[in-house]
Amino acid sequence: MKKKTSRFIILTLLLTSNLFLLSSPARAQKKDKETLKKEYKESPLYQGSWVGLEILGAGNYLLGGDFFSTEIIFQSNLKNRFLPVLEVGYGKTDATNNTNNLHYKTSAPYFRIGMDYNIFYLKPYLPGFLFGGLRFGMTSFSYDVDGPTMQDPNYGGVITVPFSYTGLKSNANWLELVLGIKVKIYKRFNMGWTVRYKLRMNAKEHPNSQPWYIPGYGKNNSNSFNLMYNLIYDLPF
Amino acid sequence: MKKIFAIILSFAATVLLISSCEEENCPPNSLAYAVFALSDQYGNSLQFTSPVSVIGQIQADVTVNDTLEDGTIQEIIKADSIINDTIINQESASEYFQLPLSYDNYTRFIIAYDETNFDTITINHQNIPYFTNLDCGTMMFYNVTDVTYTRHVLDSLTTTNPNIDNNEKENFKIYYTNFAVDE
Repeated sequence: MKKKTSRFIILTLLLTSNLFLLSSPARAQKKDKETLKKEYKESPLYQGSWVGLEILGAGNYLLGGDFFSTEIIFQSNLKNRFLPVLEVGYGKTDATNNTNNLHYKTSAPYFRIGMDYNIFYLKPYLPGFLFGGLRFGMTSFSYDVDGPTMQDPNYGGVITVPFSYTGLKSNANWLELVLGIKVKIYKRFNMGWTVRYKLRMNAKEHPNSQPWYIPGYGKNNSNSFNLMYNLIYDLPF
Repeated sequence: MKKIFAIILSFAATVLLISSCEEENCPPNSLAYAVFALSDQYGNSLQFTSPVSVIGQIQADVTVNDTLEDGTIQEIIKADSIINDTIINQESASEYFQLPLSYDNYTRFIIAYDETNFDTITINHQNIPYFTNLDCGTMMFYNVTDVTYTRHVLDSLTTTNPNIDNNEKENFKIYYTNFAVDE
């Protein structure tokens, strides 16, 4: 139920953020294509930077999700077209399955580096833009996993084996395909969201387990979809 | 422009739906069995013509309840008790056995061909408790370290894959010559 509520809130947030763009009065007069191309050619290489804070991961956790994650995004604007980005985040989980009493715990920072491409680079008069991009993510973490004592299902069940492993070190890296928007809200304040297709490249396993949750990636599936919602501030330099 | 954002929003809603429907893919088989393929001396698979039984055997300390004269119940540990578990009872027409190993560091299997003919296979193994994800529980995998066997009926036994997990694959091949088997 909590998950359904959170999905509803997230969807509402998304829709609200985009209404700003659709109904924005700040839409400037359109110029002809040649003028826009000329202006683009004459524009400087460096056109500013911004920082962003991802809030969907924390919101989901507060609404009862198993995973907490938040991250800070540093992004620069080159020619209003290429947007190199560095994302530094922190993810954690401390989850217990109430059915089988298995418990998994981990927390660690993660990093992503990549580049976005502004699809509307010739339309700087718009209050926002649509972009696609690519990220390479990496993390190094340790995890604990424990559960009830295992009882032999055969041979009278007289032999039991404890199940508890702590401090298992692992690392993972992955690729993300990104599609998103950035929308101006007020002066230097922006909002934005991204849809991400994540593709796991590597996740170190142990003889007794494989990591269940990877900070920055999520559940240890070979691929997954993910949504992120950012509050963004344009830096004055 | 509006069209593009409408498409993106629809895409986002779809992603939300997909992610809300995510389920864990637990393996259909959470138990690890040692798979013994039956073979003739030429490597061809074969079947027993008459029913065969397989008894698993381990040795462990067993706690039993003993009722004393005054009526109280006392727990007594019987050290090194032999525990037998009939795994296959009078079956034939199979080209392989799937037998569970124990949580001890060895498991002995007694193959009873009839009332007078037996073979014993003793497998020493390392036990590997294994976790895949929070929803699927734990499993016990094994690594075979040594195998000994009698040769009353069987001719020989080879270990084809010492890693025993929940993927049903051949781990041992038992070779027979000409006793009560069909090719």
